[in-house]
Order: sequence, then C-alpha cells, then structure tokens
Amino acid sequence: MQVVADYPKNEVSPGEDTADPATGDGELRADLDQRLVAQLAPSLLDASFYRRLRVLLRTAPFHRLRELRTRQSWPAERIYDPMEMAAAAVDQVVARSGLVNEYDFDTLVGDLASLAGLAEPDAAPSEWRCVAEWVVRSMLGEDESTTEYSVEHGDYRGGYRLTPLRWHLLREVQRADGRIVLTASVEVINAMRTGLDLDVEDAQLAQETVLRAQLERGDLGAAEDSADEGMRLSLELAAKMRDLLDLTRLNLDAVDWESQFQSRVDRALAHIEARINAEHDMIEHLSTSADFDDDDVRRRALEIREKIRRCLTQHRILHGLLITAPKVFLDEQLRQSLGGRTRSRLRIVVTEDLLLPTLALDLEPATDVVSVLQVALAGPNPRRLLHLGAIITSLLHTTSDDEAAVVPEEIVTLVERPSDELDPDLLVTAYDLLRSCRQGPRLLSDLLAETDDPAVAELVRLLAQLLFDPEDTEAHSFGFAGDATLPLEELGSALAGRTFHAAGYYGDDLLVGAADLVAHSVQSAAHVVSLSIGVNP
Amino acid sequence: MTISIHDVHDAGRLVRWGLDVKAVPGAHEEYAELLARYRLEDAFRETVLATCAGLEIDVLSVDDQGFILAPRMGSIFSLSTMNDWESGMDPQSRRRSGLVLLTIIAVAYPTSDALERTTVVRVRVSQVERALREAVRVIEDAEPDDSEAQTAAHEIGLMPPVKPGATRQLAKSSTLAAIRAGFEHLVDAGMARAAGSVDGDPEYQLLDRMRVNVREMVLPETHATLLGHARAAVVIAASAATTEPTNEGALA
Repeated sequence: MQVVADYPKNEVSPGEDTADPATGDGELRADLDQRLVAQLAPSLLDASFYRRLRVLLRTAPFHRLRELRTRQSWPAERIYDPMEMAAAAVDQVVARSGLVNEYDFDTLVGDLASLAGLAEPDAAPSEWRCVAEWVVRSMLGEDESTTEYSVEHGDYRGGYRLTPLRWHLLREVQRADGRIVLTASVEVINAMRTGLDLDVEDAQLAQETVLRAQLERGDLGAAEDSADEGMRLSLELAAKMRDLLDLTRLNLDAVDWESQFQSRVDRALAHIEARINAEHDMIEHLSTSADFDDDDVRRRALEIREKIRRCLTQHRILHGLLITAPKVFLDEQLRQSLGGRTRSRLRIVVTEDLLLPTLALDLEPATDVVSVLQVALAGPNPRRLLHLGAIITSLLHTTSDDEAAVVPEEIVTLVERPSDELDPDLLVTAYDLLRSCRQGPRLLSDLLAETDDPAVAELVRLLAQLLFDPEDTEAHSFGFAGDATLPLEELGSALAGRTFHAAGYYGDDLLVGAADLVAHSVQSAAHVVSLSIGVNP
Repeated sequence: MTISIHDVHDAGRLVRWGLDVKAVPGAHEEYAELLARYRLEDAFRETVLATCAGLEIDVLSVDDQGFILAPRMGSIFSLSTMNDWESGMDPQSRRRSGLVLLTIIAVAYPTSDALERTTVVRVRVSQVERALREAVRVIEDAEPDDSEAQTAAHEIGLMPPVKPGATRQLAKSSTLAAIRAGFEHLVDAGMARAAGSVDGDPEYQLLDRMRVNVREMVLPETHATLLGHARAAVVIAASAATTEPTNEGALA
C-alpha cells in the first residue's frame, strides 16, 4: 500500500530543506513531518513503542554472545551456548541480589564453568573456565574500556533524530563490608522478565492478583510461575530504588526532591506495605488451606509458600531501605552543601583534556602537574609516631651469646646479580662498616659519614635498607635479592625517628644494631611502617 | 546543641577510621555505628566536621563504603614531597610515574561522566600500556620533527614495554614495570585491588574510593594546575608576539 502524504498546496515533500527558522518555516516543516509519520506509522509517535524498542535493543548483547561463540579460543565445533549461560547468569545474580551470598566474579565464573562442563564433558576444565569467563566479561561491558553497552536508535517524535541508549547487563559494585559483588541492572531484569518495559509497581500488582486467583482456584503450576515472576518484580523494584538512592548520594542536583524523589519513595513505600500485607495473607492461605490433601500438591504448595516468603523477605528489606530514604536525601543535602567539598563538577575527557596536554609539556611543568595529581591521589597518609619507650627498651637490651644463637640465620638475602658486577672490595668495606654496629646501635647517617667513598656509602645505605625491609624494591632493583644469605645475620635496622643529617641524602634515618632490636621493635609497636630514603639529586 | 566529651572522643574515632584507608564499615562494628551516628545526628556530624577542619582534612564522601577523607594541600596528612610517593626518584621518573597514573585514570574513567557511576572498574596493565602508547603517538604525530623535545611523550616513546632487569624482574625503565608500580601504589592507598591476571596480563579492580578521589580531588586540582601552565604558555607567547613588531620596527 502506498501512502500519499496529504500536503497542503505549495508544500514540499520530506527531505527538501527550505525551512527558514527565522520566519517560522522550520516549525511548519516539523509539524508536517509529524503528520506524515502519523499517517505512515502512528506507533512511531507513541512513547510505548520506544519502550518496546529499547527492550528489544537491550537483548542485543545476548544475541551477540551467540554470534561470537565460534570465534573464540576454543574449538568451533563445541556446543556451548553462551547466550543461555548469560541468561542463567542474570537469573542467578538477580536471585541472590541483596543477600549475604551475592555472586562475585569468581563464583559466577565457577558456576558457569560447571555448566559449560555439563555441555562439553570431554573438554578440559580450563576451557570451561575460559568460556565462562568470556561470558561474564562480555556481560560486564562490550569492550575493555567501558562498563556499558551503547547503541543509537531513531526517534521520530518531534522530528527525526538518533537517540542514544546506554545500559549495562551486570556490573561490579563494592558492598559496605568490602566485598565486590555483581549486580544486574534494572533494564536487564526488565528484559529478562517479560520483554515489556512496564511500570514495576503496576506489573507487580497485576501479578499478585493473578497469583491470588490461581491459588484460590488451585492452579498451583501457574501459581508457581506467578510467584517466580513476583520475586523478579520485587528485585526490579529494589534495584530501581537503590539506583535512585545511589544517584542521590552521587549528585543531589540530579534528583528532584519535589517531583521525583519524594513521590517515588512514597509511592514505592505504599506499594511495598500493600505487598507485605498481601503476601502475609497468601502465606496464611497456603499454610491453612484444607484443599491440599495430596502429597504432591502439598509439596508444591509448600514450594510456592517458600517463594512468597522470599518475596516477603525481599520486601521487608526494601521497606527498611525506603523508610530511611528521606533521611538519605536530607543527609546528602547537608553533606553536599556543608560537609564536603562544594566544587562544581568538571566535565572533561581525561585523555584529551589532561593526558595529552601533560604529555606535551616540558619536564618542569609536567612534573609540577603530575606532582599535584600524585599528592591528590595518595589520599590521607597519617604519620605514625615513634614509640620511644619501645625503642629505648630495645636499645638497652643487650644480646647474649645464647640469644644470638637462636636468631634466625637469614634476615636478608643477596645477590642474584653476578658477583663480578659488584666490586668485592667495596662490598667488604661496606660489610665491615655495618658489622661495627654489633658493638652497639649506630645511626645510618653516622655510618655514611665515616666513609669518603660514595660507592661504599651507597652500598651501606642499600644494605641498611635491606636489613630494615628485606623486600626493599630499590635495593632489589640494584641487584640485591634472592638467593645467597647476606653475611650480616646478627644485624638489623629500625627507624630512628629522625631525618638524615648525612650530606647528599634525605629521608628517614635508620638505627642499625643487633637483629633482635628490629624484631622487638616490629613486634612491640605498629610504628614501623615505611621507609623513605633517597639520594639528593 | 550540646556536645559532650564522649561525642568529641567518638568524632575522633570516626576520623581515625576515615584515615585508615583499607578499613570498611561492614567489617568493623564501631566504624559502622559511628558512620550511622554521623548520618543521623546533626550535632555529632558537626563535631566530626569541625574535627576534620582542624586537621585540614576534607570529607569527600560518606556512604556505605566508608568515611572517605582527603587531606588538604599542606596538611600533615598529605604527602609533603614527591619522595613520599616513592623514594629516590629522579624528575623524569616522577613525571613518568604521574603520567602512568593519569593514563590509568583515562582508561578507567574516560570522561567525567564515568565518575558518576558506582561501578567497580577492571583495568589491565596492557590496556594502560596501549593507551599510553597511543597518547604518545598523537603527540609525536603533532610534532614529528622535534628530536630535541624534552616532553614526556618523547621520553616515554623511547621506553621499551618490556626490559629484563638484573633480577629477572622487569626493569623499572620499562613501561609495563612502571604501570605495575602505579597500580601497586593505588593498592597501597586502598584505591585498588589486584584481581589476578588474564593470559599473564595483571588485572586490577579500581574501588569506589578511587572514583571519589579522582572526581573530587584529582581531576579538579590537576586540571587547575595544568591550566595554570597553559595560561603561562599563552602569556609567554603573547608577550613574544607583542615584542616582535617593535624589534622589527627598530630594524627597519
């Protein structure tokens, strides 16, 4: 059927651009285009059409998994179904959402690997894991640099344009106890639920009515499906509310208290309270009904009751969340206006606006810029104070021969670098200087002042650092590491609680002495934390 | 508003927890309780904020992840020198180290919008290496003939990705070693966690603390410093432009 546009006389056809915004012709054109769309495909002007379209688009990553499955590292003839695994992953993540055993990355990969093992029992477990990890990583983001999926779709409302659609399937979030767990997005819960972008409260109300009717007429098979559906809707609502609270905490300006937050929370609260009451009634009905004489029927009724009970638990958790929601908003209002930093947010592209300009700078300004970055990124660095009592006790403690005999043989180790690269004479001189500390603890700066040879001083410094921290990266990079025992078993070093006074050095001075001094200091106090020594440029 | 000695003590305790960058409220009952008090009791919150102000600390974020604090520049809790970050670094190494961190940020949070999402981001060392090389290529393409350039791009462009060290570890002068060191600093600062490796490529998870810190502190302050230098460059260029005609006039 050919549709002929009903254009007014002297009017233009679509695509001809004679619009003149200054004279209002642009508005006229837009109006005519909308009339044409209304004739050709009226649903293109309907908001519900775009909701359905978006649901379809959001399933694209699942289809893409199936398309790409034969182009991975495992043999193409394998019969894994990554799309099915991804769908199962969403269900599993949703089912545990908000519970103490929420899925983390490794657990989900492990479970999916087991499923892969059932599909291809003869393949190697490493291959199952590879398949599972590919599925989960794909669900976390479409490529390495983003955690989102993103597509554009046409939108004819108000003049044709491309509209971006961004969403994620799974994402990792950090919980209060430090765990990093996987959560499913509202969009994917929606897509997996019914394929419809319905308002969750309405859908849940409808679902509950259906479930109640199914229970009353004894249709337990259908009732079980409805109970599952009710659970998914509960989790979707919880995810939506958590997103709203997250947004509130992130940026109060993004949330409209009057029209969005307050009304949304009130509506959700009323809905949840009604659901809790209804679920109580249904559990009561399933517990007391005399209709379930048959064992099988009774078993199914009990299963349904458990599912409804899980919904009830979820709703109670959500109820608690909603009760405190207004407080979250008010707290954030206070914090974001008074408590924290009130700088306006920058809108920048990091590579273009920061990285490239800094890369193009000469040494001095570039160092200045990155210094600010490093200090800002370091976070708080509390300086731990020296516990003088512990150090003095250690210094006064003399090592008897018996005690020396039980000192562990090696404190630090040396030398993977071929020995001919280190001058043996210099090394012997350095060892001799350090061994002088057996008679009594000495400051490293004093030891350094005793030698005129910078190479010996440098060796003494590195060895003292190794005595302090066997993992010292600078000493390791110099070549001290690994295999042979440093012939300074009886020695150790500890922070002296003062800065260097040796020429050419800066940082923390060390006290070098009997090894048990170090052991005692480390055991008795948490004050020995880090060492900072360097050579002045 | 009445503040008791007990409140002041508790305020100090909450600041103490905030300074412990690896502590999370879910693992410490006292921390969780004090955090709840901060959110619910106005007087307690004001006491905590006053304590923080006295210590020259800003409160960046207060949520289930914890009480995220940042020292102001010059605070006793702030790194005082670059050597606090890593000792014994020469200026080139400092610049390289900072640029590696900036590249990690660019990969994890390409735009400031990405900082608004509470997602934990996974980043691999190879991703950062690629991004760094690409950025260097862009700069070198823009100034291809400047062989005397002292820019970081020039220096990094000469660095190999991998260089064996004396101890069979990667030498510090390789980009991969520098990037790993950058990630390890973030791990030490409680902003990242090691997450194993993919085909031998180390992977890290960047935590919410990192996101908040980058959004609230790193980007604004780095950007402001960079603009200062850019402005200086413009001023110098403008100054040169205004003096040149005079000289030409004198010659004429």
